[in-house]
Amino acid sequence: MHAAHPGASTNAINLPSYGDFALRVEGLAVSRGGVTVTHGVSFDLGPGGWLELRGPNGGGKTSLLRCLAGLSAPESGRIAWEEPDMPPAKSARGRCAWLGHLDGLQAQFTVGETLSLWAKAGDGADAETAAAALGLQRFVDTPARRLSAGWRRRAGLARLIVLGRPLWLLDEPFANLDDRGVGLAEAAIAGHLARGGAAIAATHGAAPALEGGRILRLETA
Amino acid sequence: MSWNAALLRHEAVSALRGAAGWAFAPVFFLLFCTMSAFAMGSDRDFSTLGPALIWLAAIFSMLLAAQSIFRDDIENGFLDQLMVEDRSLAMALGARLFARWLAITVMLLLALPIAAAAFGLSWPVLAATGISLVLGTPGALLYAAAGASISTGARGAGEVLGPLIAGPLLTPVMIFGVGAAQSGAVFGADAKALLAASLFAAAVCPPTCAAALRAANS
Repeated sequence: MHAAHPGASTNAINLPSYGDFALRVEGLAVSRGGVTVTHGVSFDLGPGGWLELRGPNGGGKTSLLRCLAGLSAPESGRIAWEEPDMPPAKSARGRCAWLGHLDGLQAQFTVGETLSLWAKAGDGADAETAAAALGLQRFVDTPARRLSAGWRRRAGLARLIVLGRPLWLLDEPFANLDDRGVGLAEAAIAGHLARGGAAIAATHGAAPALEGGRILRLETA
Repeated sequence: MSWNAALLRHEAVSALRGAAGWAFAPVFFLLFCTMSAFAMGSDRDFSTLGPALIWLAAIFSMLLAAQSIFRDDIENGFLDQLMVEDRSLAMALGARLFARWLAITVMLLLALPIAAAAFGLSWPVLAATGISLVLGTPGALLYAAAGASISTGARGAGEVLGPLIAGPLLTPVMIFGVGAAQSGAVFGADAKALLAASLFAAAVCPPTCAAALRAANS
């Protein structure tokens, strides 16, 4: 495996395209702790789609992502995940890879072990390839508790690549990343979109200009 | 290797590496048993009291271990990732519970002869106590974990509610456990009741934990 560099990393991962799918969201209202935080959210997303969620702190970006992932139920409105030959689902649960504001790394496990475990759950790239895509080669045998916040974020992003799910749900994916990390994360997302995947990210506007990108500003309730 | 097999292996490694997270349970067990022998004086007959104290120590050490059994994974986001998968969360939590139970119980059984010596228990009672612990502690840990999971949703007061919810479920396990241990029989009526309680808990508690943690997380 060559040292990864921005722009070439995940594109070099030779995996087949994802199948056809559509995520349809209609008139969604989302609450947190019983209080409506945003409403009137509607969009369609398909292969290659990149959607940035913008809004103030507490504006419901995370709550919306959690609804899309099936972690919580929306207050009202409709979410439909559609794939050919499958009945529509009420969330992208099982078809999405989730990167919350927590990286989901267990302190006592190394980056390599974590990626290998999730590789068993998905059908994406192998752990080594994914680690290299985020420039993590040096840290494959390092337990998560000894990683800095930025390196943990990179490991969290690498996990998306081993899962190989058509939809990536990302909560502040570039948090804690240095310039090189942002470059690698952008390349990973671009590679995912190039395979016919889709991604939705809550950002604060510092996100890359990815092709086919759309911005959705959440209305505060 | 399938996902479930990989997860079980992962949990076994987690139990070995994360011993700091559960080792206090067997340490508590050993301290409780030896200290209660000292507290009650050496001239006392412990032939029936000893097994009862051993079972009390076992119940409370399982209760302590269960309180934090899923806490790290809630705090580091691992549980969110499991919940987003289209796979059985109950199975994943069950793997954690099984690995932790095994680790703690092996340590309890290693500590048991020391406790038995402190109480001056006979060999048949020691053997019956050991068997009753193997049969009954799965139920104890599972009920305690279900209580802890249900209380996770009630933030703030939650940590206190766990033992209160589990208490009524742990009481019959303790009664049958003490009975089985005192009887000196290898697999008597009380031991069968213990096994039944543990099997019931194994069927009911992991889905309960899964549903409770999902609800708490939504």
